[in-house]
Amino acid sequence: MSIKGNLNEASLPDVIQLLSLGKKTGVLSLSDRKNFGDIFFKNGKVIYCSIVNREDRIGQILLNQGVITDEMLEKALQIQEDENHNVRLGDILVNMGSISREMLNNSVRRQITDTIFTFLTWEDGFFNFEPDIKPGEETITIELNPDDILLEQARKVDEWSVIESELPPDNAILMKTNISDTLKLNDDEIGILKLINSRRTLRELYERSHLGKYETARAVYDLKKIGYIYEGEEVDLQSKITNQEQVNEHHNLGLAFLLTEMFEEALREFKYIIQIDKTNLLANFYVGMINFRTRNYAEAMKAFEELLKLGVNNVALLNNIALTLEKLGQYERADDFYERAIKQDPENAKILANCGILAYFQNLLSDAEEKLKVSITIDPSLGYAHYYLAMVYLENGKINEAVDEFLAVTKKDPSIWQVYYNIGQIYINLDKFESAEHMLKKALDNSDRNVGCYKALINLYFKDKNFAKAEEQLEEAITLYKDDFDFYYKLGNVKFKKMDKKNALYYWEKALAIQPDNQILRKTLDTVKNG
Amino acid sequence: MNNNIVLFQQHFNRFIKSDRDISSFSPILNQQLEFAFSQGKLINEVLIINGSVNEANEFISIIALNFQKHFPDTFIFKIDIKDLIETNTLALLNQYKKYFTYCSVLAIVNAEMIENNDEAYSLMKSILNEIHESTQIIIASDQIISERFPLYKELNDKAIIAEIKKHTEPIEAQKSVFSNFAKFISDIKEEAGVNEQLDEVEIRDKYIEKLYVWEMKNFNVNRLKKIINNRDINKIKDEFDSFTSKVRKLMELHKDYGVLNTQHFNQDAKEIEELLFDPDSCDIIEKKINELKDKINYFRFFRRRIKLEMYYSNFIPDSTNRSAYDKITQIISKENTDLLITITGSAGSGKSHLLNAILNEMVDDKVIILDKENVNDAVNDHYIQKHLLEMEMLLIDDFDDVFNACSDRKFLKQLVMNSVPKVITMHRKYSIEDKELLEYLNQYPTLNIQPSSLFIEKSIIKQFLNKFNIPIDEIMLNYIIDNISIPLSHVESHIKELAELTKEQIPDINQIHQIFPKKERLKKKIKSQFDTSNLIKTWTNEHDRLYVEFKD
Repeated sequence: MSIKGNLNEASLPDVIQLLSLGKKTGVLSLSDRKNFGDIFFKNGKVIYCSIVNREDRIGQILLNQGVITDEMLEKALQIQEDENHNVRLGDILVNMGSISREMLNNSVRRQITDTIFTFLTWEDGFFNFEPDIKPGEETITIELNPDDILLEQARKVDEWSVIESELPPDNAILMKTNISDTLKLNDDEIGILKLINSRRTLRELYERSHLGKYETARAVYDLKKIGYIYEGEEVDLQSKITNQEQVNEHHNLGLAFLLTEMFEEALREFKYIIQIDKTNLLANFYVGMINFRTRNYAEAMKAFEELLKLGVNNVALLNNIALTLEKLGQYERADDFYERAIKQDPENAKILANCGILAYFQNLLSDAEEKLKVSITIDPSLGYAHYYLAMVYLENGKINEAVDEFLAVTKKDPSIWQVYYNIGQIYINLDKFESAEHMLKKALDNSDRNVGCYKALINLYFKDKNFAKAEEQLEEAITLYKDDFDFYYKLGNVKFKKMDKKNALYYWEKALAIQPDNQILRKTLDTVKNG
Repeated sequence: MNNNIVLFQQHFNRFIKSDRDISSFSPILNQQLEFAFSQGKLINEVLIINGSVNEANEFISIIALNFQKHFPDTFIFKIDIKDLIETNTLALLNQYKKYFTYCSVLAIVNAEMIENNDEAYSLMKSILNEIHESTQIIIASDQIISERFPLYKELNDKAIIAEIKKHTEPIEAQKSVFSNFAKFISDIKEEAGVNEQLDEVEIRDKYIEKLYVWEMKNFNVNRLKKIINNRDINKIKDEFDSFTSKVRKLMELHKDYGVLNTQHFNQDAKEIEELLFDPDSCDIIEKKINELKDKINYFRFFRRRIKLEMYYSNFIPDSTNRSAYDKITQIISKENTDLLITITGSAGSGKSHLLNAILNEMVDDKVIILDKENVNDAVNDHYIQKHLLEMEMLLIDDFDDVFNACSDRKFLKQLVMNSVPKVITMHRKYSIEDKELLEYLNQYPTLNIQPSSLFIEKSIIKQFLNKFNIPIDEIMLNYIIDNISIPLSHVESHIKELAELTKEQIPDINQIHQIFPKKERLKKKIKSQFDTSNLIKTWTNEHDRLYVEFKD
């Protein structure tokens, strides 16, 4: 189960410590809504970090830092190619003698600590932990104790706000003054001063320096303060990179946001791409998809239609247009698009299932049954096809078949509580109260105590005249749903049945407070009070 | 009826009933008739009848009317050159040229007149050049045709020539497979008879002489050799009598076998031929000949479903069907190595056309086609089942329908999964609910034909409009394409109806809609039978139904 939340509500050090204590393995994704990054954990230890669109290839990092030359990198890449990418680039460089193992590990360690430092400076944002996800095979990993990193980085973060406020902007070129005496400078400052050449911006300095972001910034801060350097003109960093590079950056970010369901941010990134390149098919596709997922169906339709205008006619697009039209209630047009998709790919389970589902919504049950059955034959893992086939069976009065199909869904994904709920309702209809209770309780457990599941279960107890159990569930429900009229009203009724007039009046009063205009309840209250 | 068809039938498909006894024809024509009545075809590829057009006309009519009755899948067309020249209608040959290409028998009457008429010569040369190799030709003329006749040499090389003298005995055939055979029978009769009046020594010598003659003629004479030195001359006589009577039966079997078209059953033919000179194997030969007759009949029966108009060279390949087309090309050129190929595609996409192209191209191979109309004949008879296993290739059209229509799915399944190479077409593979069969099909290539492109739709519709002489402009053609929602495989019959309605005039929009009704939803709404009002009716994550991967 994933752990997710907002960096406003839970601090990043707390989250990291929680994962460390729990000896978790997986990836903690973080975003400040503009940037996106990952921290990989293995048994509670931090093993790797990355930020989307920031250079994280070890070869390029070592090259930027001047640790290896172009020739060394080229040769190492060639060897890697010859070995069919079965050997990691860092290991090749070590075997070539270009760098020592210690240098390699230091470089990785610095990348990790530097990245975590960047994450710690994000004040607002979102985090999400997905277990059992590992970094790519190519990645060089080392195991670091999160406590040590946090201890070291926390101090830096405290000082960062002071340093950051005095730093030139990232896109400002740094210039040297005519002071050349380096005797008073420490090693870090001398190193940074050497990198400043009246052409590099602060951001480029971060990339070239092997000190790490904080240490580099600290040295720049000190050098500026004691008059060795000054802030030059600001350059347009975006203009320095090609349109394609910009598109790639937005695409990477958009995809990262999309995967963590940060739809607003993802939409923003893909819209940036469309601003750069109106004909970018993928960006339009994602804009359509995100709008669909956020239920802006009209907007989704616009994006998908844009793709049609651009000449795209593949099954993915036809399916998505059909589905969007279905959501917009334009069933006939949706049907036409599904038919077009089926003609292109008659064995496509997803499209057949979708077409069958549309037929179900149109109450065309034979057609729905046929298409859903075929889709399940092709791909039995389509949970929603089983679900809707069960609904079709129910409409046709085939109860046993319907229950079988619902159960087929639970076998594939037991967390879909709606299935238990529906089976429970079917059993209620059939007066099989014990089985219904079992299913509705499962629905309640799997739904994280969904209000609808409580209500269904309570209705069942009322129907079965089992008021003791109804009372028990109602009392539990009102602790979670404090504003629900039904729960208070029904609990009042149960208490009244038990001749507990005092509590009955108490809960009815509570219900009346939620629905003050409910005249029936008011009359009941008056009658009971006066009677 | 369409005027075109009426015109065609008047000129080329009209035969006058004749009560003439077939035995009154010359032996060659008589043999041809006997063969034709039993097999639905002539003995030879080309039959030239010289001397009497009237007798030839009678002969052709008798065959044509017999075929119409007993072999409805055969077509005999008669081109009377004299009639066409005299009625100044030679142009019809050009108009209906394509019909002649695939007829079963093409009779050319008053053929000598072609030689002196340039137009007739050029038209007939073109027709004869394009004629399908399975079509048999009758050339009838009062005078002997000469080298000035189109394709004279090619035709003459393949021909048997029947010379008919008016009011006299027919002249012996110049070359006939039966001429030697007839002589052979008369020799046997003569040789089998032994003069009773000779003394015993002479009789013994005579029998020894006969034995050598039999042996020289390749008969199995082991039985005679064992008895020839027997003291009892009567035993020798009995043995020779018995032998002679068996040889007579053998001759009958020779005759029976000689008229069979063994083209597709070489192995069976070889087995029979190896026994044909063994009088002791008469029963076995008879059994084998009967079996072969059955096989030929079954083969013809299953091959009868061929659609001659769907041949390889008139299939229009493009990007929508390229992979399937390439595969069929491989099959036809014997380069395919896949045991089973499945072609899927919606109705009218060209699947059946490709299957029929295989049948039309592979005429010399044992290839047959199964469809929903003949599948139950195939699976309900143990004998036919065995026959199906001996095919070189099996084609199954619309396997989804065949599977549903089949009364013995178990056998059909075994048939699909056996070692006979197969090409099957289906609307969609997963409409078959048999998991094992599906898994089997999935082991072999499946080629999908995409919906027809506009190019193909236009080409095919144009082709049919031309065929039925419907004049139409580009705008109207586009209008039809935009408004036709029927599969291309049904377009021909609709255009035929349109032709009858418009009578060679440009159709108007109303007429088009009269023939091509707008798409109607055939789906049926059913009322719910269970109270589902309390249920959650929609899937929790509707975006699961979305495509999240995009490939341009």
